[in-house]
Parts: sequence; structure tokens; C-alpha cells
Amino acid sequence: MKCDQIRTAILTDYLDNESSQAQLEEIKVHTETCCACKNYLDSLDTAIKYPFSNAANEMVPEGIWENVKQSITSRNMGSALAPEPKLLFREKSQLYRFLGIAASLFVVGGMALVFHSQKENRPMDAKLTVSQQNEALVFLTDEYMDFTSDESNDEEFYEDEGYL
Amino acid sequence: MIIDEITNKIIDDSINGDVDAFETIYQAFSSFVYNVSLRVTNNSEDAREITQDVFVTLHQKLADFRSHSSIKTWIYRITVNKSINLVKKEVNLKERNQKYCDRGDEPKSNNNVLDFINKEHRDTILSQILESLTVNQRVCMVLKHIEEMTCNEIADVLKTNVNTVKTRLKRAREHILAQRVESKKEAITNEM
Repeated sequence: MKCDQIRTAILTDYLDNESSQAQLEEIKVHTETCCACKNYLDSLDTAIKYPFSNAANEMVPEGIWENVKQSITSRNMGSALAPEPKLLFREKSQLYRFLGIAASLFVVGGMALVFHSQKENRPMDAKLTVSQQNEALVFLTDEYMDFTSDESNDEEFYEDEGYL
Repeated sequence: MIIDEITNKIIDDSINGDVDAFETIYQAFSSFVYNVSLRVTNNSEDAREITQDVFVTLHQKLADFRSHSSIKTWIYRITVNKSINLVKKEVNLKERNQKYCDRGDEPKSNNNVLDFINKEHRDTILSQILESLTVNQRVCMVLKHIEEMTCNEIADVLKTNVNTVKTRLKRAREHILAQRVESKKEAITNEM
């Protein structure tokens, strides 16, 4: 391994105590011959390993348990005196399930409403007589003819202006 | 009481209102809870408050514990989350650092005065190092280098990816090293 690879290995796996035996051996051999990497390893030991490994555990201050105990006891007494409130949902999962079903029903209901309103408009078209259908067809044909003639006019306009 | 000796019976008894059983859980975990919160918040009063809060929360939610795999991971998670939340709420970091340095709970007899000075010095260095890190890096460094947890265990506690933990550790170390180089440079400049 090159120096930068060795240093990365020292900074990560070595300090994480997760180096393989082969990697440890490689770091050891390399740092025996490379002064820069040896200095890097030493500086990490001084800067990180030393202050952290010597951190002593502080004694837990007295009085914390007494406070916890008091809190627990008063809570137990409170719950013994007061009747347990009737919860609609005892667990969060039940609430989420209810909300999911409610949301699904809302979406399905909305879709049914839209479908129904569209269906109400349709019978008008369905009740057209043959003559009315013919009139509508003629009307649409005229509209189409007008539209195409407008397009040809536009083409002429662009020709005149020299756009095409 | 060792953490691994906390059996399901002790947990069940605690759920059923047995205060002595819950005290057993407290005795097993209180040192971890207090020390981790002390290192993360860097303040003994905050650590005391968090420790109390963690065990009250634990007692309230112990009945929900059955769905969790390990009570150890669960308590560690509550501790870390409460510590992170408190640090994020805090504004004046210098004031907290001062409070931590001012705590007077150490015996100062003439016999161990050197030990005391060394310990104070180490604590101050560690305190300064931790203070310079982001709260997420700080938590990872405390769990890794003081509590000697593996990266996988830390990831489990933080509910995050193991690579995220490794990245935080790497960046924290790079930062500490860079600070050390910087302070050395400053010292040389001052001498000149």
C-alpha cells in the first residue's frame, strides 16, 4: 500500500479496531520504514487515543434515583386513583390503520361522485334523435371547413410577408 | 448488577409496578446514561437532568418494550437522543463548558493531588476536543472511544447506516488532527 492508503487505513479501520490481521501487519511493516506515516500514527495516538482512552467514568451523583423513584411512585398513585381513560386506539398502529381506511374510503367516494356527475350529463347526448345527430354532424363539418380555409388564409398571409 | 443480567423477569416485574426491580435496571444502566450524557452535553447538571429524564421515560414506556430486540440498545438510544436534543437546544456552549470545569465533586487530598491535576488536565483536553465537534460526531466518538462500542452497535443505537457512523468518525478524527496542527502552529508563532 502507498502512504495515503496507509494513512486512510490508520484513520479509519485501525482506529475503529476493525483492521484485519493482514492490514495490521501491513501498517506495522510500513510504519517501520516510513517516518512520515510513523509520525502520523503517533500524532493520532496522542490526539485521539490518549485523551479518550484515559477518560474515567464519573460516579453517578446521588439523589437521582430518589427523584426517579418519587416520580414513578407519584405516577403509580395517580394512575391508581384516576380511572384509566378509555382510548379509542390503544396503539399507534391501530390509529394508522384507521386513517388508511378512512383515506381510501374518501378517495373511492370522491371518484364515485365524479363518475356519477359525469353520468348525469351523458343521457342528454344519448337521447338525441337521428335528425339531431345529423344536424350536429353538419355543424361539425362546417366548422371543420371553416377551420381549414382559415389555415390556407394564414399560409397566404405568411407567403405575403415572406415568412415561408 | 451487570447490564447483561437484566432478565425478562426483571423487566416484567418493573412493568407490573415492582420498584425494586426497576431499581435493578437503574443500577445496571445509570453509569452509562450519566457518563454518555455528561460527555455529549459537557455539563454535569444537564447530565443529571437527562439521567433522571431517561429513567422516568423508560418506566413510562417499558410496557411498549416487548417489540424491541434489546433493552440495552433501547436505553442507549433514549440517552443519545435526549442528549442530542438538549445540546441542540443549548445556545451558550462556553457557559456549559465553564460549568463542567467548575464542578467540585472530586476529593482533593494532598496524597492524590498529582493524580487530580492530571485527571483535570485530561478532562479539560477531552472536553475541549468534544466541544469542537458537531453533536453527531461527538456522539459517535464518545460511543466508540469511551464506551468502546463497535460501528455496527453505534449504527444500531443511532438508527443509521454503519457507513454514516464510519464517515462521522473519520471526519471527527480529521478535525481533531487539524486542530492539533493548528494549535501547534499557534504555539510556535507565539514563541517567536
